[in-house]
Amino acid sequence: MGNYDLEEQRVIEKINTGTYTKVLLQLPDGLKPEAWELVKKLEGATGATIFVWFGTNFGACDLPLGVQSLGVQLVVAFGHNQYIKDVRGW
Amino acid sequence: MVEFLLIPAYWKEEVVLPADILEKLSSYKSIAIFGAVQFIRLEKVIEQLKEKGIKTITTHGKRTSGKFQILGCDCYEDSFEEDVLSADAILYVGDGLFHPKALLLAKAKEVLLYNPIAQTLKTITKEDIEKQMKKYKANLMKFLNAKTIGVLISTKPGQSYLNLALKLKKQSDKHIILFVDDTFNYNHMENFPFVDVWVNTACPRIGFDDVTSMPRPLINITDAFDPGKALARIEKDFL
Repeated sequence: MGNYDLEEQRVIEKINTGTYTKVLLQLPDGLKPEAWELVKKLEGATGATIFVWFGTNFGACDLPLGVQSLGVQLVVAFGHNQYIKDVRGW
Repeated sequence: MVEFLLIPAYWKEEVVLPADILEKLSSYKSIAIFGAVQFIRLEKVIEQLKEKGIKTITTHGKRTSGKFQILGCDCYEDSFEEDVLSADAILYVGDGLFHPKALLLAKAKEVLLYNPIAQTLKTITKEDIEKQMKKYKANLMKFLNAKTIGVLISTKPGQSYLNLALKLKKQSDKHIILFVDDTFNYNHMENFPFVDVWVNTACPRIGFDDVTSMPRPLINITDAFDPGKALARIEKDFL
């Protein structure tokens, strides 16, 4: 996975200690080429079905909604940390 | 209920300035420092600069939670608690242009970019955003005379500002139509030819970065409330 720490072990532990059977990975464009390796690793270590978000990942302001209709219980968003939104506006 | 887990994907190596780049930075008396989330472990860089007698100014963007971090939407003068513009130079550590351009939009005259992967130093200046600011100024002038306005509202949780869209609809004497989508495909503007000018309520960078490639004029919501003031600011600070 190159020189970026994707914390796979932390993700695996999160999935295995929860009751997650369907997990969605959201990757920034620079990490999208790593998706196949990541899916193989996580499916092998957890048994959960892993999906990959096809669309954008502009930041933590851009988390995918509506995926619960597919039964997804956990979204793992890579490449970002907590975003602080001012609800009053910009 | 969906849970979310955020993995910042930190760079595994320690960020260290090579000797030749440290030497180039030695001519500055003070440097403000920022990084992308992957590279915000900048303690060693700060130590190196201090050893050279350079005063370091550190803060982070208001919309971020990481020390030294800046986001693309931290693009206003008041996006930082410290006066970073008073530094002799601003150093950004990362491998892209989107985040450091926020500093130019916040009125920095230039930003030094250190790429820790390629180990290169380059500079971006006001000239790098001049084309988009000229286009934005033209869009503001079109907005002044526009009769029908399409307001774009995003369903992305971090970019959804319905309150601002409704405020504009209530206050404006123009015809305001509200449009909703997740990620905006600007080609869809062509489907609504009755809209004179579009107003963006999602990410402020849509208004500054994407306007040169849009088929129709667009301005940001904050400027729609006082376009005259926005025009004066752009002419004074950017053109």
